[in-house]
Amino acid sequence: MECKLVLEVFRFDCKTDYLPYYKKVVVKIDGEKTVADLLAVIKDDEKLFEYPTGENAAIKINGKSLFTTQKIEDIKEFFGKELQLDPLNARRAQKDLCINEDDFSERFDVLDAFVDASDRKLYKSYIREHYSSPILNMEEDFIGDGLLAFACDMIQKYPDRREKILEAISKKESGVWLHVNISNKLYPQDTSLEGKIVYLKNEILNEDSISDAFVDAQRNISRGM
Amino acid sequence: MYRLFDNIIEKDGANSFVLAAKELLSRLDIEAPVLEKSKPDIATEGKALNQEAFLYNCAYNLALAKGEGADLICVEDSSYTSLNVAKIMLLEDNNLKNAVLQKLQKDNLELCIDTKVLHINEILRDVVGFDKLQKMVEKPFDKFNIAVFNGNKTQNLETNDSILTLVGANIVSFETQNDSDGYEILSASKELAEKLAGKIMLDAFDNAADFVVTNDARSFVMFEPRQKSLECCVGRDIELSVFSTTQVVLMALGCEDKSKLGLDFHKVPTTLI
Repeated sequence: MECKLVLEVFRFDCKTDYLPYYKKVVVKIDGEKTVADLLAVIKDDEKLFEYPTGENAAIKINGKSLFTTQKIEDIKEFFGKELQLDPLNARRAQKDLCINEDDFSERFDVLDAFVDASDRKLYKSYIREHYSSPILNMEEDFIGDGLLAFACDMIQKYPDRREKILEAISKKESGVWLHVNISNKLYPQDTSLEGKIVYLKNEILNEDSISDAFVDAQRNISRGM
Repeated sequence: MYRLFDNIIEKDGANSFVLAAKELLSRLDIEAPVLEKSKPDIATEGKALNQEAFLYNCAYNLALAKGEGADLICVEDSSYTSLNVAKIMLLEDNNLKNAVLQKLQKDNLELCIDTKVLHINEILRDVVGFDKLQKMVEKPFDKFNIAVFNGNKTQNLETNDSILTLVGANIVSFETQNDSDGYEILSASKELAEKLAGKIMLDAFDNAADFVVTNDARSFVMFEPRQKSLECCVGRDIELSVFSTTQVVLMALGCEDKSKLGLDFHKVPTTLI
């Protein structure tokens, strides 16, 4: 069924603009279509408009990060007909909804030595988690929630590399201890990352070879519970 | 029969939740003595450090209440979530269930997953009833804009909003109402935690809120007793009172006794008008 949507679309060109602005767009689109289709419709009228494409293409709608494969009728049911379209991270916007993803790619290096090159594909699927954490904009050393989700998967895949992986994500200043709950920032809401974080923290505390002042303090708190 | 769970997280800093709930239940003629000898709620943050202790504490409290033939009333969100999450975990995982069972046996307690856990807002909705509650309102909040901070919670939000609306308050929307309050990273980085909390309080202030409502003890201790520190962190004055829904209802019912409202434990000065 066709539905009418009122959009506020983030527009910015890092080569020419000092500040971003929102362009109002009213579209009619079949509810069976996807967000990617909606973005293509916008581009039909605005030839210079750019948006992420490909397997893990994701944007923000009304503040929540989602893959562009989501169906329009589901989006309308959840958010209503007035939608604000933003890039995953406005601070990293290059052209409209496309962002510079270098920081996300570089974080893979933290675990690169303990996983296979083919695992990067899975890592890339955690782009929503990476850019949903508010910590990313506040602490540049934070390894990111995407990498934490990936670390949990890699421990299951390579149990013999568990200790090294845990050690790499256990730093107080940059690791798992800086994670904040982002389940509400994802669409559809997803609490699976929170389960992974609990698992990772428990595993770090149970791994006696990982020892620094902060982890030891957490271990003492845990033992006193 | 009810028992009030008072062993909440951050009990010292968030004692106003317990005091206000006791007074409100008393005014509503609902008998709910405190659940004696309970174990503390260590919340989801504690669960991440010691899952076994989290489950044991929750199971212990559920068993104590069941032993007294009572439903448990939670005065804030963290304990309510912990007890309900623990029930689900114990139902779904037999290994965890057996481990907890054995520990409880040493305390001469039986595992009771069917103990009813109620939020005080559910008591207002289902036991008192919204119609009766509305008729009891003496001092409506119809000149007040309230910023309700929900954080990551998705349950019982409508009930909370309904209660605040029926006392006449205007609920304002603000962008950070579902953000992290920073409590979960407080031990790792006080600075980042306070930046997160400060941003939320400023957002509430900038959206014309007269005060903030939160029903989570963890959010409360980030927003209220730390407010001076948050102001330093974000570089602006905030000066916003923070209340629980229970306190707001009590005030709407005409309670002006600051000690019964739990306001003696607040750091931000509140003038009752």
